[in-house]
Amino acid sequence: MELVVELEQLSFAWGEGKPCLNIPELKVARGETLFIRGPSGSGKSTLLNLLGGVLKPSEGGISVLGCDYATLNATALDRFRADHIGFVFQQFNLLPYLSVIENVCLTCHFSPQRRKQVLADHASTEEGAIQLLDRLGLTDRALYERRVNELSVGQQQRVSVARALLGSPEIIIADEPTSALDADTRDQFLSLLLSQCSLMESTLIFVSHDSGLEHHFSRVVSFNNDGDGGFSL
Amino acid sequence: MILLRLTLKSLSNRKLTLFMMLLSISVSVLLLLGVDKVREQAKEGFSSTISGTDLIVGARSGQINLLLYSVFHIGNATNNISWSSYKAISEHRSVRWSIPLSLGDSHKGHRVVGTTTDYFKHYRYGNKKPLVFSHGREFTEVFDVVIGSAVAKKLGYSIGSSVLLTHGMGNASLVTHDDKPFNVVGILSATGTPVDNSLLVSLEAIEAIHIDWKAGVKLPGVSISAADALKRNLAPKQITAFMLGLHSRMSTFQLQRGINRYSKEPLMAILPGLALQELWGMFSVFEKALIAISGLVVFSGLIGLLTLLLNGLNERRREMAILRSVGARPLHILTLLMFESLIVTIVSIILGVLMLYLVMLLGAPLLQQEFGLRIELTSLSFWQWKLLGLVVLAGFVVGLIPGYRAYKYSVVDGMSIKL
Repeated sequence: MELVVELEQLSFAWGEGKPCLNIPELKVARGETLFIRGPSGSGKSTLLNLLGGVLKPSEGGISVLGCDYATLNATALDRFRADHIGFVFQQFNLLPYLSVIENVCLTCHFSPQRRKQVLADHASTEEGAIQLLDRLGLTDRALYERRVNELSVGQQQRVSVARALLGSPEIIIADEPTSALDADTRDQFLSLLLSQCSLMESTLIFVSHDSGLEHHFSRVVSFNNDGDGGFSL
Repeated sequence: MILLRLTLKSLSNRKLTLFMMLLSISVSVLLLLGVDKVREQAKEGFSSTISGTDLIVGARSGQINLLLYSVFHIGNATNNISWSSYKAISEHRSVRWSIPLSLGDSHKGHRVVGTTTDYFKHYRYGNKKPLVFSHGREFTEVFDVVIGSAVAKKLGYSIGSSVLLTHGMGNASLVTHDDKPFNVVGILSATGTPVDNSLLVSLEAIEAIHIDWKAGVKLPGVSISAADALKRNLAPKQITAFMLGLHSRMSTFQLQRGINRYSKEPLMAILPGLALQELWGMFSVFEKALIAISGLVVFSGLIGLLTLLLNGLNERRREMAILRSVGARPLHILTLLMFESLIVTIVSIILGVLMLYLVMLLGAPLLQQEFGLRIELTSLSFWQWKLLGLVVLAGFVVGLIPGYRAYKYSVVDGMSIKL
C-alpha cells in the first residue's frame, strides 16, 4: 500500500500558545477516499493549510507523496502544492473576474507540471478544461465564456472541481464543498467528485462537519475535542 | 504574463475604484504638468519680450527700473534725457541702429510710445522676430497712430478709428489731449509682449500734444489747435530712453562703459538680457512655490491612490487565498499589487498628458485673451519627462505598501478564506 500522506506526532499552535491541533498519526493510502469529520472551529482549515504547506507544524512531520515538508522552503512548498494538490473550498472560490474556462485553467499557469500533464492528452489546456467540465455535467458551451458569478452555486462548485482535477494532481483536498448545496445537488455533486477522483486515480481528502455524507467514503476519521481548547484526530 | 492578465482583469472588474484611482492621479499629473507648462512658458515669454537689442539707455537709476519702464511699460522714468545726448550716442561709430522712446502718455490704460519708424524696422522679440502689421501701415503723419493687437481687440479699434491720448498713466481723472485726436493707421499682429498693449506714435506727435504744456501742466489760457501745432517746430527736445543695436556685440561693454561715464548728462546703459535675468531671479521664489505646490498635488494624488489600494485589500483577501490555493506564491501576490499601482500610474500619466494638451488647446485662446499669456502647444521638456518619471517611481513606491501588506496577508491567511 503506497502512502500519499503521512502525518506523525504532529501538533500545531498559533504563536507560543497551547497546541490547537494534535495528530498522533494519520496515514492516507493512494486511491483512498478519506472523510475527516469535525465541528467548525476544530482546526480543519489549519489541517488543510498544513497539508498545503502554507502553515508549518510546531512539532512533528508531514510527508506528502514521500516528500518531507521540513526539507522544503516556502517557495518549494508553494510549487509542490501547485503541482500535486488540487483544492475545492466551501463556495465562492472562483475568481469573479475570470470566465469559467479561465478559472479552470488557472492552476496550469502556476504549475508547469500540471500544464504538461494536460497537454499530454489535449491540444490545449482549454480543451482539457472543456472535457473535464463536460464530464462534470457542464455541457452547455455558452456557459464557458460566462462570468462565474452568473452561475448557480452548484455549477460553481463543479467548476472548482474541474479546476482542482485539471492536470490530474495526486491529491484532491475538499473543504466543506457541499455546505452551500441543497440535499439533491449535494449527493449528485458528491458522486461526481468521487467518480472523477477514481477516474483520475487521485486520492480524495474530504473535510466536513456533515456526518450524513460519511457513507460515500472508504474511510472516516474525526476530530475529537481534547477539552483544553485543542482538537486531535 | 498570467499575472499581468490577472491584474488587468481584476482592475476591470473594479471599474469604479479604477476610475477613481485614474482620476486622482491623472488630475494631479495634469496639474503638475500644467503648472510647469505655465511656468516654463511664462519664463519663455518673459525672456523673449525683447531680443536683438544690445543696449538700453536711460536716465541713471537702477537697471531693473530702466528695463521695466522701457520694455515692460511698468513704472516711470526718474528723468528724461536730452535729444542732443541721444543724437551724440546714436551716431557713435559702433552703433548700427537706434530706437528712441518717449513715454508718459496713455490711452485708456494703454501706454503710448513716442518713437520713430525705426521701431518697426529694428525692434525684435522672441527668436529675433520682427513686428508685423496685420492691418495698415507705419505712421507717416504727425497725428497717425499704430496700435498693438491687444489694444485693437480690447477697444474694438480698426483702421480709421479716432483716438484721444491722456497725459500720464491712468484713467478718466487725468487730463486728456482732447483737442488733438489721432487717427489709427496701422494695427500690429500679436506678439505676446507689451507691444500688444501699446500705441505707437511719432516723436513729433508727442511734441505736438504737449506744445501748449509746460512741465507736465497745461498752460492756462493757451490753446494751440492741432492744425496750428503742425506749423510749429516739432523737433523732439527730449526723450525717455532709447534702444541700441550695435555692429558688433564685441563693442557692447565698451560702449556701455562710455555711456555710463557720459559727461554731459547722467546716463545709464543696460544689457537687456542680463537685466531680464535679474528680474526673473526676483520671481524665483514664486517659481519655486509653483513647483512645490504641484509637487504637493501629486503627493496628495498618490495618497488617494494608496488609500484606494489599501481599502480594496481587505475585500481582496479571498481573491488572494484562491490564488494561493491554485499555486500562487506570496511573491506573485506582491507582484500583482505592484502591477496594479504601476498600471494605474502609467495609464493616469497618459491620460493626464492627453488632458493637458486638450486643456492647452481649448484654454490657449482664453489665456491669451484674458491674461496675455501665450501658451504654445510645445512638446514635453526633458525636465517634464523627468517629472513624469518621478511620478512613476512614486507610484511604484506607493504600490510597495499595499503590496507588502498583501504579501503578509497571503503568508498568514494561506488558503483559508477569511471574511
